[in-house]
Amino acid sequence: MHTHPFTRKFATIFCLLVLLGHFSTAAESIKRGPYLQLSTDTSVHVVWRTTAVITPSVRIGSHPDKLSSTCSCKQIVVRRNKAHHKSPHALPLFNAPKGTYQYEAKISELKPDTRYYYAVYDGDNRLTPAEAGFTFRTHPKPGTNRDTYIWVVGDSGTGNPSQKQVHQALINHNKKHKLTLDMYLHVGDMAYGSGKDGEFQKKFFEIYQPTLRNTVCWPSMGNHEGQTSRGKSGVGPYYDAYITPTKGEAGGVPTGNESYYSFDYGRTHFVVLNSHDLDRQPTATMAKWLREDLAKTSPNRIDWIIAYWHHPPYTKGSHDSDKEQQLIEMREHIMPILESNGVDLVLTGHSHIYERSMLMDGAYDTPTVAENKILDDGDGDEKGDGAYQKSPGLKPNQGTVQIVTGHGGTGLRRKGYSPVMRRSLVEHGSTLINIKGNELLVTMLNKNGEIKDKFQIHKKKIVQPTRIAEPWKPNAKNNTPKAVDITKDAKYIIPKKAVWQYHTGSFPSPAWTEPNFDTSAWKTGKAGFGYGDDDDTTELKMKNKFASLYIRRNFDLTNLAEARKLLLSISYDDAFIMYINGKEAFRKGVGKGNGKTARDISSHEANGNFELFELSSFTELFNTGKNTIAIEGHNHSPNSSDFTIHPSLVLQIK
Amino acid sequence: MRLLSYIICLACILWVLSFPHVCAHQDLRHSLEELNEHILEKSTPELLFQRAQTYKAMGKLNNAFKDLVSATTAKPNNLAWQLELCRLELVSHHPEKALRIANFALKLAKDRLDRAETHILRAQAYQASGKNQPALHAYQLAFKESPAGKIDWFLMRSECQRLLGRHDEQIRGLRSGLKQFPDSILKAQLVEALIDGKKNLEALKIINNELPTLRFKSAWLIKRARAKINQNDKTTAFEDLYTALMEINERVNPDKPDPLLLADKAKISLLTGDMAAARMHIEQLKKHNAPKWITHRLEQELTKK
Repeated sequence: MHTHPFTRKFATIFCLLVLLGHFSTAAESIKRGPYLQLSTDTSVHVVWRTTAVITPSVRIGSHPDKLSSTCSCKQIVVRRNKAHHKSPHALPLFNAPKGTYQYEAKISELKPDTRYYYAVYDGDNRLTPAEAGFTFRTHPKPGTNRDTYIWVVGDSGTGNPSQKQVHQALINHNKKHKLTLDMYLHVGDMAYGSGKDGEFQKKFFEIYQPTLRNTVCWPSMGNHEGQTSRGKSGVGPYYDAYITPTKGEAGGVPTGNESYYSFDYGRTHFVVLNSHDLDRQPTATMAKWLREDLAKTSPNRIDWIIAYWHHPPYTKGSHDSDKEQQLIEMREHIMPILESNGVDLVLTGHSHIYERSMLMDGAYDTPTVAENKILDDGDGDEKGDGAYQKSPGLKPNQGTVQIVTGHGGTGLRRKGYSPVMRRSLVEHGSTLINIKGNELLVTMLNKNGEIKDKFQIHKKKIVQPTRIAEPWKPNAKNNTPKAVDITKDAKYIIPKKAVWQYHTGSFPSPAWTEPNFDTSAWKTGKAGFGYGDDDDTTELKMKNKFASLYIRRNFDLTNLAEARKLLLSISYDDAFIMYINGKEAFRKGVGKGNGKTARDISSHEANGNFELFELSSFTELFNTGKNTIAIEGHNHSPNSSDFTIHPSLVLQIK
Repeated sequence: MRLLSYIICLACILWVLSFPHVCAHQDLRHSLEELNEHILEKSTPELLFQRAQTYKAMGKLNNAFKDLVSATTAKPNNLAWQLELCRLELVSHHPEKALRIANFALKLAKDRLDRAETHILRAQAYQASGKNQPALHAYQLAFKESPAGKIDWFLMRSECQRLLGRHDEQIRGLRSGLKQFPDSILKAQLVEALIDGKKNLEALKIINNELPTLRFKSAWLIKRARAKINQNDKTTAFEDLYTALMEINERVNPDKPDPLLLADKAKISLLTGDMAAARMHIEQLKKHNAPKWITHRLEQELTKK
C-alpha cells in the first residue's frame, strides 16, 4: 500500500510523541519512592507518592520476573492533604504538595528472613522499572541468631555533595565487600532547614532512593524536623514520611504513638526515643514506657540492646552536652534507665562530629566527668587494646559505648573534647554496625570510603566490671597537645601580662610568623588582648569590625632540653593557632585554614581560666638561643560579645 | 552584560539563602547573642518569643519567663504564646497564675484541639492547687472537645479520678484510652485502678499474664502483692514483695537512683508495715529531687497507716 511521504512522516512523529507522552507519564507518576517502612518477620510496608489518581497495587514474588502475589488497592491506605483526605484509617498529610496521593501498602503473610522482589502498579501499568533493585528481606523470626548489618546516619539532610559522598561511600563499601544492609537507622536532622515536606523530598528521599527502595529506614526525629512536626500530636511532614510501630508490631511494647518506639531484629532490641519535644523527665510517659519496654526485653531471645535518638548525652562537637537542656536531661534522666537495663550501644546525632566513647557506666553528672565512670579506657579494637568485654546476656551496668554520628553531611565543628570520648573526628561519614552472635563490631566509614574508627564489644565470658579512677585522656598523638594541670614547680619564660607585638584590623602577610618578619608597623601592648568581660589589659576595638588578632614575641632557650619541658599557658575565647619559629605547632578551635582563610571556629569561654598545653611534641621546632612565638587568635564572630587572648610560656623545673 | 549581572546576583542570593541551615547549627550561646543583637536594634514580640524559647532550651527559665511576659503583653492574642506562658507558670509552681492565663487563652482558642489543649492546662493548674473536682471537670471538657485524646491526657485524668476516689470512672476512662492507644503505661495504670477499686480478680488475671513476659518483674510483683493483700492473702503477698525488693536492690544505682525504683522500695516498705524504712526512702526521693506527686502520694499512704 502506497502512503504519501508526508503521511509517513506525520505518523512517525505522532507515534514518537505518543510513546514519549506514555513514558513521560509513567516516569512522572511516582513522585516519591517507592520506599520501605515498618517491617517484621511476616510483613513490610511499601510507600510511594503520585500526583495523579491511580489504581494502586504492589506485586511481589521470589524472583524479579515472577511477581505472582498482589496487594490490591483495597488493602492500600491512601492519604491526601486535609481538604481531600478520605481514608478513616490514617491521618491526612500535613502539607504535601497540592494533588499528592500517598499510598501505604502493608504486605502481610510473608515468610521470615526471606528475600522478595516487588513492583508498584497502576492497574496493569507497571510504575517501577523492571530491575532487581526493588527488593526487601523480612526480619528473621524473633529470637533467631542472625548476623545483622546496620547503617547509621545523622544530620545529613543538606542535599550537598558531602551528604551524597557519604551515601556513595556506603554503596561502594557494600559493593566491594559484597554486603547487603539489613536496616538503615537515622538519628535525626534528615531534612534541613525545618523538615518541610519539600525538604524531605529533596534532601532525603531523592538522595537515598537507591537504598530506601530495598532497606527500611527506622528514623528518630531531630530538632530540625521538630520545627514542623510535633511529637505529642504525631502530626507533620516527619510523621507523614514514616510508618513506625505503635502497637509493638515489630517486637517491643506498644507506645500508642509514633514519636518513640522499639523493634526487634534477630536477637537485637532497638529502642528509639524522642529527645526533642517530649517530656524527658524520669517520671514522664516516655521514660515510664522505656522501663516497661526494657523490663520485657528477655535475655532468652535478645542478646543486644541498641538505643538511639537525636540529642547526645555526651558531646563537645558543635554542641556542648554540659550546657544544653535537652542533652543534660537525656544524660541525667534517660541514661540511668538504659544502663540499669543493660543497654550496649547509644547512637545520637545533633552534634556535627563523630565522637565515640570508651566503655562507660554511670556518668550522669553535669559537667560530665570520666573518673570512676569508665570500665575500659582502651581503644576497643581487638587488634589494638582489645575489644570491650561484657558478660553474656543483658546484665545491668556492665558498660555502654556512646557514638555521636552527626557527621552525615552538614557543616562540622568541634568545641572541645568530652572526657568520656575515645575518638573525636571532624570529618563526614557514617557508622556501620555488624552483629555476629556474641560479637558487635562498629566502624566509622568516612566519605572517602576509609575506615577511620573501629571497635568491638564481646559478650563471651562473665565479666566483673571495675571502674578506672584516672582514665585515658586525649594527648599529643591526636595532633593536639594534652591539656594538663600543672602541679610541679615551674618558672615563666614569658610571664602573664608580658609585652607582645600585636596587629589587628587587617590580615598580615603570610610571613608574619617568621622570626625575621618586619613588625615595625605593629603596635605593642601587654597581654591579655581582647574586649568584653573586663579581663583584658590591652582593650581592642574589634567588636563588629574584625574577628582575628595576631601577636608575636621572642624568647631565649638555653638549651634544647628545655624545649621538652615547655608549656603554653593561655586564656582564650574563642580559638587560636600557635606558631614556633614560623611553623604551625598546634591549633585549638580553628577547624581549617589560617589568617584570612581560617574557618570552622569553635566557641570557647575563657572564664578567666588559663589552660596548659604541653609543647614537648614540638621540640624540633625550637632553637637553642633566640626563638619566636606567634599566635593568631580568632573570634567565633566579629559581633561576639567578647574576645580574649592571654598567653604565657612556662618552663617546668621539676 | 546586564543579564549576566542579574544571573550572578541571583546565584549569590541563592548561595546566601542556603546558609540558614548552617546558621541554625550555631550553639545556643551564639543564637542567644544574635537574638540579643537583633533585639537591641529593634525589639519585637516575635524576637522576644524566640529568645524565650532559647532561654528555655538553656534551662534559664527566669529569663524565658521575662521574655514571654513581654511578648504576650505586646501581643496578648497569640494563643501559642499564652499556652507556653501557662506551661512555664506550671513548671514554676504558680498554679493560680497558670489558671488565669489558661482561662484567658480559652477565649483565643478557635478550634476543638486548641480548646482541648487549653482545658488540659486548666486541669493541670487546678490539680496543682489541690482542686481535684474542678480539675476533673476540665479534663472532661478536654475530652469532649477531642474525644480521641492523648495518652498523657488519659493518664492525668486517671490520676485525678484516683485522688477523688472515683475508681469506677477511672477504670472506664483507662479502658477507653487503651482502645485508642494500646499503650503499656495505660495498661499498668488500669491494673492499679482495678486494685484500688477492689476488682482484684480481674487485676490478678492481667498481672499473671504479664509476669512471665517480664525480665524485671518488681513493679508487677508489687501490684500483685497489693491485690493479694486486698484478698487477705498476706503470706504470698509478702513473698512477692521480698522478691521485688531483691530485684530492685540489684538494679538501683546508689549515686543516681531511678526515682520510680526508689518509690517502689517505699511502697514495699509501706505494704510490709516498715514505716521507718518507708520514711527513709521518701527522704531519699526528696534528696534526689523526685517530683512532688510521687513523694506526696507516699506521704499520704504513710499518714493513713
